[in-house]
Amino acid sequence: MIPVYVLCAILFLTGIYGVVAKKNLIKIIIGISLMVQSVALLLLILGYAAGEVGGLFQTIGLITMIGGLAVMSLMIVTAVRLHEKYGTFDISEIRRLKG
Amino acid sequence: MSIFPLLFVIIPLAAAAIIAVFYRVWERSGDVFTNVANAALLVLSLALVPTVMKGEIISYDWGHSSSLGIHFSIDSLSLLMLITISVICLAASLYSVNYMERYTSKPRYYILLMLMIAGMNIVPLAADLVNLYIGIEIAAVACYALVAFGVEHEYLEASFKYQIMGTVGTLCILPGIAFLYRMTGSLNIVELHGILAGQGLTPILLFSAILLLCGLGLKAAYMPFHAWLPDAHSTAPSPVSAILSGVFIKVIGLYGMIRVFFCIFEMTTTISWILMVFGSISLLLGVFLALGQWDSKRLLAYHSISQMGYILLGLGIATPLGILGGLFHLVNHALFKGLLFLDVGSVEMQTGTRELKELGGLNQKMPVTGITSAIASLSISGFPPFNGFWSKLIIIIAAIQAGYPWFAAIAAIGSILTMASFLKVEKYIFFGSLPEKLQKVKEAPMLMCIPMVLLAALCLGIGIAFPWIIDVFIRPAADVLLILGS
Amino acid sequence: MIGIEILLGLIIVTGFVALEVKKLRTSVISLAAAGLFFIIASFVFGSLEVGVGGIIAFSILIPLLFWALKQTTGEDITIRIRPEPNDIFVLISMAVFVIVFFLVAFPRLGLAELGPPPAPIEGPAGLSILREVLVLLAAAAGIWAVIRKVGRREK
Repeated sequence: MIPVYVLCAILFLTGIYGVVAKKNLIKIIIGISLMVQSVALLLLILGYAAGEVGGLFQTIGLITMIGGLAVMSLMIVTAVRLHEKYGTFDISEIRRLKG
Repeated sequence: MSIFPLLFVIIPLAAAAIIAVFYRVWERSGDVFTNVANAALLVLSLALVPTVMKGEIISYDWGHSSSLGIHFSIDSLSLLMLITISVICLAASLYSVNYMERYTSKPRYYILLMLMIAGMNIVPLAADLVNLYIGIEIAAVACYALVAFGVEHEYLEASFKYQIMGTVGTLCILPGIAFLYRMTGSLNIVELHGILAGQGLTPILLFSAILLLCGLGLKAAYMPFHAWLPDAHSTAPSPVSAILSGVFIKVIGLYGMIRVFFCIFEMTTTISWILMVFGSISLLLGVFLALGQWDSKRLLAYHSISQMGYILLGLGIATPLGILGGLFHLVNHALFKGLLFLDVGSVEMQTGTRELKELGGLNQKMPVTGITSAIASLSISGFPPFNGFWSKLIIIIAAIQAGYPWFAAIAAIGSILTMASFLKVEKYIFFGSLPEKLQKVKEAPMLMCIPMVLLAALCLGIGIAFPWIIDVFIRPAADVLLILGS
Repeated sequence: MIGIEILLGLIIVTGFVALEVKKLRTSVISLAAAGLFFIIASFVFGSLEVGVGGIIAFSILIPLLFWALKQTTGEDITIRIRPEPNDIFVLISMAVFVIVFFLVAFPRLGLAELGPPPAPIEGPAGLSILREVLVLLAAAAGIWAVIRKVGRREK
C-alpha cells in the first residue's frame, strides 16, 4: 500500500502548490479541490481492508466532501464578486489590505 | 442523558429559522429573536453552573454509539466556554441592533450569526472528534460570510484570504483525526485518552499530533499561522470582530488544541515546550506588530494574537497554577477584547474613521465609550485591580514556580509593550484636542452603550471578585485538564 | 490494488494540467476529469458514500465554476507573469520540505505495518447526514449574503 500513500501525498502537495504558487483565484480554488480529493482518498486508503472500507472512514470521507463542497461554492461566489470589484482574478492586484 | 446539551444547538438554529420565515412580515424579527435566543443561551448556561461545576457531566446521545450519531457532553471546561460564548454573543447581538443599520439586509446577518453561534456551541459540547470537527466547519463557513458581509473590496478580499487559510487548516485537521482513529479505533475523547494512556508517542501518532497542531493553530492564528487574522478581524463589522477576537478563535482553535493536547495525548515535557514556545513567539511578535499600527481595529487584531500567546503560554506550563492562569486569561481576554472592538466600532460609527491620527479628544463627546474603553485598556495592559492583571500575574507566577524564568520575563515584557500600545490608543482617540470636523460627534445610541457598560462592569467586577470567580468557574474547569493530565 | 494507483496518477496529472493551462475553461474541464477519476476510485474502494458525495459535489461545483467563468473571464492572464524572487523562495522552501518529508519522515511513519483497520460499523447513516446538512445550510446562507449587490448604506 506504500505507493498509494505516496501518490496521495503527491496529490495533496499538488493542491498546496496550486494554493501557494498560483496567482489566479480560480486556480487557487482548483488547488483546494485537489487537496479535498486527496484527503478523502487518504481516508479510504486508511480504512481499506479485504475489499471494503471499515470503521467510520466512509462517514468522515463524506463529511470531507460535503465540507469541501460548502467552502468551495462560497469561494467561487466570493471570487466572482471580487472580479466584479477589482476587474481581475489576479491575486497580486487584489491588495487593498496591507500591514 | 439529558436534553440540555441539545438545547444549545437547537435554540440558535430555531432562531435562525424563525428569522428566515418572519423577516418579510415583521422587520424587527431579527433584532428581537437574536437577542432573545442569546439571552436564553446565557440563562441556560448559567443555570447549569451549580450541577456541572460540582464535577457532574451532563451528556446527550442520539444514534449510533461510535460517532455516527450526535454525542454531546458538558463538563466544567465545556460549560466555561459556553458561558463565555453566550456573554460575548449577547453583548454583540445587542450592539448589532443599531450598528448593523449601516449595512443592508440585516436578516441575513442575523441568520448567519445564529448559525455561527450554533457551530461555536457544538465545539465545546462535542464528545467526539467528528462532532467537534463539524462544529468547527459550520462556525467557520458562517464566519467567512460574516467577514465578507460588507461586500465591498476589502471585505471580499479579507474573506477570500480567510477562506483559503481556514480550509487549509480544516484539511490538516481531518487527516490528523483519521490517523488517530486508524491507530486507536475510537473517536470519543474520553475513550481515546484511556487507549493512549501510557502508550507513548509512536511516529504516526506524533505525525497526527503535528497535523492537528498545524490545523488548529491555523484556526487559532498562532504565529506563524496568523497572516489571515489582522485582515479578517479588522474588516468584519465590529460586533462580528468582537465575537471573532473574543471567542471565535478560542473556541474553534484553542479549545480543540486543549482537548487534543491535554485530554487525548498525554502532556509530556516535549508538548509542553512546544506550546510554550508557540505561545511566547505569538505573544512577543503580536505585540511588536501591534505597536506599529495606526488603524485602530488592525491594532486590536494584532493584540489578539499576542493575548492568545499568553493563554497558550499559561496552558503550556501545565502546572495547576499555569492552567488556571491560562483559562482565567481566556475568559478575561474574551471580555476586554470584545469590549475594545465594540468601543472602536462605536467610534467608527460616530466619526466615520478608525485611523488613530484623524481622531482625538473624544472623551468630551463620547463619555460612555471613553470610560469603558479606558477600563478595557487598563485590563488588557494588566493594571490592578482589573481582571487582566490577575490572570497575567498568575501566569507569570506559574512560570517562575515551574522554573521557566525566561518565559516569565517574556510575559512581563509583553505586558509592558501592551501598555505602551494602549496608551497610544487612548491618547490618540480619547485625549488631546478635538479635531475641527469632529465637533458635532454624539455618543453612540443607548442600545450600543448597554453592552459596553455590561462588559466593562464584568471586567471590573471579575477583577475585584477574582478569588470567587476562580473558585466557582475557573478551578473546576482547570481540574478537568489536571485529572486527565496526571 | 494496481487500479487505484493508476487512477491516483490520473487524478494528479489532470489536476496538474488544470493548474497550468492558460484557458480557464480547459482548466475546469480538466478538474472535472480529475473529479471523474476520483469518483471511480471511491467506487473501486467499495465506498458508496464517498462516491455519491463526490458525484453530488462535482455536479454542483463544475457548473458553478462554468457560471463563474461566464460572469467574468476565460483567460488566465497571470500565467505569463514572471515569478517574483519571493515566490521562487517559497517554491524552493516547499521543494526542500517535500524532499525532507519523503526521505526522512515518510519511511519512519510505519505506514506499512499499521495493522488491521477498525471493523465496519453498521448503523443508520441518516443521522450523520443531518449534521452535514447544517454545513451546507451555512454555506447557502453565506452565499445568500455575499451575492447582495450593495453591502453598506452610505450616510
